[in-house]
Amino acid sequence: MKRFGELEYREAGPPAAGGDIPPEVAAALLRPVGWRAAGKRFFRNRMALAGAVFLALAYLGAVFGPLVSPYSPEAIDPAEAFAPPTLRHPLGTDEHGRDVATRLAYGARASLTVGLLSMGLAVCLGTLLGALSGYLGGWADAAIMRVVDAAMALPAFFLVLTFLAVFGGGLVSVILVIGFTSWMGVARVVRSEFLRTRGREFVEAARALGAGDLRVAVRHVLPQALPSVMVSASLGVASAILVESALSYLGLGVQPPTPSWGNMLMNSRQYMWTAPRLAVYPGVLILLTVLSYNFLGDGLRDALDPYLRD
Amino acid sequence: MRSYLIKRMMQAVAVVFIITVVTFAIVNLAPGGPSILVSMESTAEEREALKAKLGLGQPLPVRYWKWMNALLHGDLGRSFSDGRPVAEAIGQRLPNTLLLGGAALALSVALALPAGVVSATRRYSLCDYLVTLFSFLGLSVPAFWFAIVLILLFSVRLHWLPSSGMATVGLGFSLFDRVAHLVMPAVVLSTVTMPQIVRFTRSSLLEVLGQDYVRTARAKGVPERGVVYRHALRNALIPVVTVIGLLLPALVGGAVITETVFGWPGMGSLALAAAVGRDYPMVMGVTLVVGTVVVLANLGVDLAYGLLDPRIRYE
Repeated sequence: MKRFGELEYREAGPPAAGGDIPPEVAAALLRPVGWRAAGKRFFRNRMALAGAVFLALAYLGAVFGPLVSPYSPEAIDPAEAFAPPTLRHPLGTDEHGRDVATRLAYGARASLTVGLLSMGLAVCLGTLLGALSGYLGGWADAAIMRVVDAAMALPAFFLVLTFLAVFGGGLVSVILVIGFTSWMGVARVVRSEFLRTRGREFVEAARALGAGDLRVAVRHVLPQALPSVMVSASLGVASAILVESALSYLGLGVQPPTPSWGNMLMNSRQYMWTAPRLAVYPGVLILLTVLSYNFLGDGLRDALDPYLRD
Repeated sequence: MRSYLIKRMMQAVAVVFIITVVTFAIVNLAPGGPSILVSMESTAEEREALKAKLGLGQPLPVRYWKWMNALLHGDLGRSFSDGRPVAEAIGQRLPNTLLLGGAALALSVALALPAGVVSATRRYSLCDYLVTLFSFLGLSVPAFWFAIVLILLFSVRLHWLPSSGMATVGLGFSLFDRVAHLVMPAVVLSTVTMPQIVRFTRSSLLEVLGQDYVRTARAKGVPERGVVYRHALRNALIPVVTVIGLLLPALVGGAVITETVFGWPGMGSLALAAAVGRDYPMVMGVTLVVGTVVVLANLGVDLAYGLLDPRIRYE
């Protein structure tokens, strides 16, 4: 397992240049991202690897589970209600006799889709604003960073609740609200990477060769920010999945009968005393998925950041 | 210092203003109007009359202006659903949420600081790994599911703790009873903040322990305990204070879930009920008050930061 402490260095940018950076670290900082070495380091990190394996299984289950299952996630069969796990229903059935394993697979589709797409939206927004802020500097930087500060101070969950209650829940609204309330971290990270990179020699070289602002920003500076964005995004997917499950649990997220892990949990609450296993499966799946994304993000951070290497 | 203070306060006011505009826009741009208008079995005329009575016929900016004007006179309006003054409902609920949030935060800090210190001073030891593992678990567990597990264990199986509410029905107020009701919600809510405080304490302390003045302290023979607690920890805690400020919005967000699961009569459950019932004045009032509390707390944290760290000079 790994240390998760030293991470803040990256976000704050490296310490000011000068005598306090050991030469080998300075050299590592000046090298472009070493993807192959990073890959090796990542594969040495057992927890991150375990996370990646679990996520691969979860995605396979989400994609192929529904194709393999003979049941529909919404087909009601009262005769089979609360059936214990058997060969026909490997994880048993719920209060309407629906196959729990099938519903979990469909629920995985909802939860994982929300995680990926909302974070995709947040990464796009955050990268755009962070890049503008870091590249332009000056008043544009100041203005954008004030917006980031304000957005971070908002009790976003209250606004999200209101929005969903008023405009109705559902997959698309949930993706939008999570995306629009979680881009700030990415923006900060991208901005600091831009600040770090923009005065470097290879950027000046590109400019001297006649590259315009856009080309320098997109082709030369942005790739340097990619590792940090990947870290930020995988930690972000973790929290997006948590938020989705919480919203669905409150009845404002993915709407029944479409299953998501969160609304399956909400549903199971009424049967907590009689069939606690209905609450156990989706809860454990959420926990493991979010845990995996957190381990993955942390492993990526270690693997991609030469400064943090031991 | 004074100009910084003024600047920060203006920023705080701006954030609160943004909160009111966004909330107002969300609730008022909704299709269908408040649910009382949609769900009621009434004729079109009756609905029109009610709409006029609630002042919903006027254009948006006018309504915002009226709301703002009343607000500045200390009037948050009346609830659409039961006609009670919004301020009264909030006055009843806010102390409960402050109690829950305060307890959760106190619990987080009380456990997270020692955990962070142990894992920083004994880096890569078994303790460090366990602390890290539990922080990751806390970071990843869905709060409502954790709450259900706790209820199943401590209320249903062991009958140790009450599963919901703030007090036992029919019993007068007693401190023991209140604390018994508070334990599980506070533990659940603290999972939102504790892992983050642990990781920041650890990384911040590690950074400080590598500094020259720590080496100086060791060189002049200060015992390790003194080095860690008197020299290093004091400075390491400064960024931790900032992190606690940044965690406040997440804490009040977590309160919505925690209060709902445990039937805790606070601002979170009030907000949920108001949002679902489209009780506009209540939604506006709750969001405004929660936003203001968070913004003020952040302002306090910022100023405390300057007191704790004399190196910081406000421009």
